[in-house]
Amino acid sequence: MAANITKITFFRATATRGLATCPPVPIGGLTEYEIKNTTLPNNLVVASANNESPISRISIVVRAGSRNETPDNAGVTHTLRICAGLSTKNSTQFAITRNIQQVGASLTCSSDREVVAYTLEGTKQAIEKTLPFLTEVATQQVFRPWEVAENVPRQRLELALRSPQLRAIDLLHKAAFRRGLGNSLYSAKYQLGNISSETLQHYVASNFTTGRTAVVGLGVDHSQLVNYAQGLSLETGEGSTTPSPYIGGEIRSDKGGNLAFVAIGGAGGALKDTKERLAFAVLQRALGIGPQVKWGTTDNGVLSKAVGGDVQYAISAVNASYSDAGLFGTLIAAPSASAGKIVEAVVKVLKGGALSDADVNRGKNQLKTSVLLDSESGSNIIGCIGSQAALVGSAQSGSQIAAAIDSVSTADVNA
Amino acid sequence: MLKPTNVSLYLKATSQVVSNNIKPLHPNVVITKKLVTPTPQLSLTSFTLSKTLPLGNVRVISGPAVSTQVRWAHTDINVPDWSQYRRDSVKSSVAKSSESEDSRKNFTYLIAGAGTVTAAYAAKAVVTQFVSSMSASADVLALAKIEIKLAEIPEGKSVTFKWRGKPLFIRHRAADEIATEQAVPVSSLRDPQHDNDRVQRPEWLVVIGVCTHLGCVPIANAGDFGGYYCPCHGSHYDASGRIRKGPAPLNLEVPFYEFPDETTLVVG
Repeated sequence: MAANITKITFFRATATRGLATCPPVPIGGLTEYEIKNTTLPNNLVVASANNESPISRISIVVRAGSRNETPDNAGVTHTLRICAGLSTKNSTQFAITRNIQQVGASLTCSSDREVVAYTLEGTKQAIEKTLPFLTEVATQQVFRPWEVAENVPRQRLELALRSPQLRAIDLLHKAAFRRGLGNSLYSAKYQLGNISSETLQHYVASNFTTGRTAVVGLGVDHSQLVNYAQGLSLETGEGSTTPSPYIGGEIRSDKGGNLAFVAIGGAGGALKDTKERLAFAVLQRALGIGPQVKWGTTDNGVLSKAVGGDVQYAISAVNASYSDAGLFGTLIAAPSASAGKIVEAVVKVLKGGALSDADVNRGKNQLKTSVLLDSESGSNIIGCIGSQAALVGSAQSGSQIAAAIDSVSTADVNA
Repeated sequence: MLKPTNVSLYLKATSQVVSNNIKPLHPNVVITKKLVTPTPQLSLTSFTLSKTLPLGNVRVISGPAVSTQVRWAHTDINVPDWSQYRRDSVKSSVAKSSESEDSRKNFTYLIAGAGTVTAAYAAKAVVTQFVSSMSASADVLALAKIEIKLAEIPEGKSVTFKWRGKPLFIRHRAADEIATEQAVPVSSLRDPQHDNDRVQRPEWLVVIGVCTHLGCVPIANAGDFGGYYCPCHGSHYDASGRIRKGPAPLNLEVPFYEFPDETTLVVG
């Protein structure tokens, strides 16, 4: 009751008087914010932005994605992600789940082809109470064999729930890169239950090093985050990353269903080459990623115009940029009868088409819009900042990226 | 070993229709049940279909107690068959329960009502049985009545019996005593009662021998009035047991008695 009194009467009055002079902060936080980057002496990257959002987010991002799997430990990143939250050196699975849920925070682990990120989201007080658990889950996992074995049905469920679109993109990567970036995000069915606790521990020991890690925060103070990152107990080192060049190939997989999903791709722009990367992103938007007006039916992209027709289909240009390679192409979803015709039209555009200035401008505007809209939502942008920090070494804010997009010219895109 | 002569075996597939188990093709296997997963949503318009297409770099997110949970549903639980206990009118799966609703309800209410009434009676019987066990026992009740043979009491004599812990005087009165007592004016008595009101048969006086003053036992055939005399404080009673002189306020108490036959008196 005493706490209620201080909250309601006196302090609130002074607070509102003080803030009355400032413009109000939007409920999701500021949309224009600056990202501060620091690289610690042990090569750990710290990036944070204070967007004055009521929700704070802290993410530990490690370059341990599925491209680092070898044929011996295929499926280890899938298992690693599923095993996030299991017992650690100083905490049990029950304690982690209960303490985090009790304060209303949420802990997630996301993995893609290059990074694995452990994210803790919650109010400031919740984060203060549960930050040790994030450290535990990200750096001190012990992978008890019985707990790992208990999670196999969950992996099986995830495999069963994959959509055909996801499988198409997975197979596209496999055809393009074979090993490395071609490794699937998901474990193969025959490997379920074969990933032992030792495999996981070895994988973590060799990949979770300070040279491959970044700590990213949103809605937190940068100096405090640097202090926290300095306290993380990780091995120093760079680890090794095998290069994954584009090779190319074709894979067909028959799984039934009434829609055919065709993914056609070629080499794209890598993250380290900024100009190429932005040009490919603009090209993706110019070619079209589906109707951009809610519940609209017209897609003004070049691909859609080339195909035309009134059959139910969906075409989207696909662009993936990884640190040393990239993939660019299209994904077509169409009934099997008309799939052949659509594929032919799309390939013609990809091989020979040239884009007009209007198309490129459209692409640039759409890309800028989506980047800025994404950066308004903390939950989306924490992943992007995390990937940038881990892979490139510094993160750029949404407005900086938007400014860079402006500098892309039609010639870059057509090249 | 894939010898050239064996290749033809691999160019066709064989399955046995009716097997005689002499040449088994495969060892026996057990086919496990398939996993059940939720069916994905159908995209029926181009817009919704295009929204399901990933744009490039795919990231999968999961967490402890987030995104997927495997819950163990025990599908091997056998629910017993309760049809033996069910009512016949609703056993069929196409029977409408509203049709038999009234008859079922009435039957249930009838049984419940009858059962309640019976139970109330039974409860009352049990309770009264237990409560009445605390009342006077048979030996005490037996002492509550006294039976006296009148032939053993000679005329003119007053006999004392112990009855209910108190002395009981029975006097076989002579005719002159009766006449005397009946002639006494009632208005001159402290406790006015005529003799006829105190006796059922004039020759037999039945009174309790406790002085109404302070409870001493009067002496028979003593005192100034030919009846009883209490020696404690000098109360004189007459042959009808009425107080005539002395401190006692009331006449001697007359208990309930009856003559079941000519020679027996039962008091109490």
